Amino acid sequence: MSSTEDAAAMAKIRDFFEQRLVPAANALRERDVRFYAEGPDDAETWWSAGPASSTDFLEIEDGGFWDALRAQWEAEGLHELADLTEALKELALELEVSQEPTDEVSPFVYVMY
Amino acid sequence: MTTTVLGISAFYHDSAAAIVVDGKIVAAAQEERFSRKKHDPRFPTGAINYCLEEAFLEPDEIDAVVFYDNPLLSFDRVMKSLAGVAPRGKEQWLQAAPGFLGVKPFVERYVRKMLATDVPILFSRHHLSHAASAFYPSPFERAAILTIDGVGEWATTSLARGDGNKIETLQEILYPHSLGLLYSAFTYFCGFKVNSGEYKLMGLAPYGVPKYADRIRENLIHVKPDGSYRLDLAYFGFHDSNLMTNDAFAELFDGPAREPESRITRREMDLAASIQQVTEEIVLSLARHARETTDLPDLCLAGGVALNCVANGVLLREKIFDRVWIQPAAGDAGGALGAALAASHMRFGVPRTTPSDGRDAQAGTYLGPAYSGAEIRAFLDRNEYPYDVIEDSAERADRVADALAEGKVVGFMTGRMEFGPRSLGGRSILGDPRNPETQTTMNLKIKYRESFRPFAPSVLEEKSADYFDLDSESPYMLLVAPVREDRRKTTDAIPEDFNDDDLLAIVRQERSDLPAITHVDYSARVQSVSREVNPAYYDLIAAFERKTGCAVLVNTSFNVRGEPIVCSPADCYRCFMRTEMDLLVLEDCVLEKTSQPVSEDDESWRDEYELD
Repeated sequence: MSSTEDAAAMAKIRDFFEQRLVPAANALRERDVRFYAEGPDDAETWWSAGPASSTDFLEIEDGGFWDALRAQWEAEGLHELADLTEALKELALELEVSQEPTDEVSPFVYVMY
Repeated sequence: MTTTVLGISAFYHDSAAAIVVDGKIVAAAQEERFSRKKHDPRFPTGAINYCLEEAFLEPDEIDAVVFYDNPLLSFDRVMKSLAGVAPRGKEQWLQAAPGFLGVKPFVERYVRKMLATDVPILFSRHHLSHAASAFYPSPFERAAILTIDGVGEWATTSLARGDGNKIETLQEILYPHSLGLLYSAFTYFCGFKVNSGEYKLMGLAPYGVPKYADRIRENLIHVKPDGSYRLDLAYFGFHDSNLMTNDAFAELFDGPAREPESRITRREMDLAASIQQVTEEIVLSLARHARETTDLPDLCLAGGVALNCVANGVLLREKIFDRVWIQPAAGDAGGALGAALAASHMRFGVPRTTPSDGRDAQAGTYLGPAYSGAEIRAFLDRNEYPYDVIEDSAERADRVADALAEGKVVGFMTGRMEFGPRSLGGRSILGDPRNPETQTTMNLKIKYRESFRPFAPSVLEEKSADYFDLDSESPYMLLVAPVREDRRKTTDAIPEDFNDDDLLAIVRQERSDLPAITHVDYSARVQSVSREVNPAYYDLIAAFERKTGCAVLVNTSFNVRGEPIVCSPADCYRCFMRTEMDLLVLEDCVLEKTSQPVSEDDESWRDEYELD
């Protein structure tokens, strides 16, 4: 990618966050949807029973990623996230492969991998 | 009909590949060894090519390619985490999104393109990959399995049960509550690099006192009697910013994070001691829960936290389990191996066989490339480097042992390269552990690394108890054990106001009759060497013992700071000439430094390697 294309891609990444993700997050918050506890609570144990997915080996064909993601979020009643998948897909297609990491992931964002 | 599975880990940290044929590990290697870029995260083209060559296979002859984690679940976690904190997290998103969005959704397409194959591509779960890497090569028919790391998809800690060729995941602790991330937060705060500096923090811990341990327990991590734990996110930045820790963390620990490469103060030593103590407590607690839950006598461990060999040693001595087996490539590189093993056994139903001699199926973790004598001689002749050929292995061991006994430092390349972060005699730098100057010399003139860092001993397996309080074998250098009481020497206590200006003086104190490998707390990270697993290395230590009465050698990885461990003869020669090593052994070729042509390298080569 040229520096102009890089700048354009970064603008789209920023726009997605501000214009799509933040409203979705606000809507989820209004519905009191929480994805994890932010600290200790009174639960008897903090172990979660069983794995987060019952699928040991995912098989996914080209393009199936986005359908699977949307289906998962819809099944969980998270239409705010499901509605983001098309925009995420468009953004991802612009960034595909040319952005294969050449450096180690920064320690500051490594939980995002 | 054979079943062949290629495992891959990539796009995050330490890419690797492994190939498993009918459940047997044929080859495994990290990409960094071929690309010469430390912790290389890129698609492991070099490692895959090597694995296919070792197995004499073309990509189309593979039954499946298995990626070590599930990108759908990772994507789900990242987007939900962001949605949970937005509008916070924007800087984190801007920094991570290009790499994250451009790769995760396209892994299947990318793998297919790179391998030019239409074989099935599967995605294992991250912690299942770790669990499989620990259980299937272990010598146990059944075992409890604990995997502990920073995060993989949603899981940060998982408990599983392995039985025959099956693994059943029983329980998990989920992101953002993570023992690995907690340890990494302290690694960052103490000025070391996250994902590679954790072992430095562990090495620093014995210099400090655990004065902050109560603060950690009362504020940062809360632990239930069943070992489950929660972080208090009020002190961390990894979930909603581009920082590991935040101002509240700094306030709790008396000031801002240490700048990398700046002076290490008493505070960092005490922080290292404190988080080490808390980590050990939690690992023990998790292990007790694993024992109670599974009622099995043996334990397998993997995940980055399983590389904390001090905690591993404590776990072994507590005897919660009868036996413990730890995957030597416990970090994400080992996920490639685990993914291949998991698919072989669980997806394709390959029966599992454990070796009849009671040893594991990891083959000493010598799973990388080997170079023949002819290849090595061709390299040396082409470059006109002077060398002696000593074909008789006993004579060669004698010559090298003589050099070591004279205090010389030896670069040693024999057989297949190790898979995992430790050098175990395949690609090692060796020295005399009796010499009080060895640690300082090797740190400052050969490894060019921090003076406080200890070196590890390799000991003949049957002589291990003569030197260390260790009642099990430790072939992978994953257990820290005390040096025997009767070998210790009394030294001055480390003063309260001590800082890193005094480190050399502290390091130079003789703490035992093996000063080069005795850490400040009289511990050592032991590798026990058996003749069955590595005859060339065993014979060298045995020859050294015959000359000196000492069945121990100093063994450190064959590289300089920031450089991947050497792989090829050319890598070995380059490192040999750039450092103050005296002798180089390349299979049956022996090279004296004094006979070599003057190197054309100037000091600028050091810029090739980013400091770790």
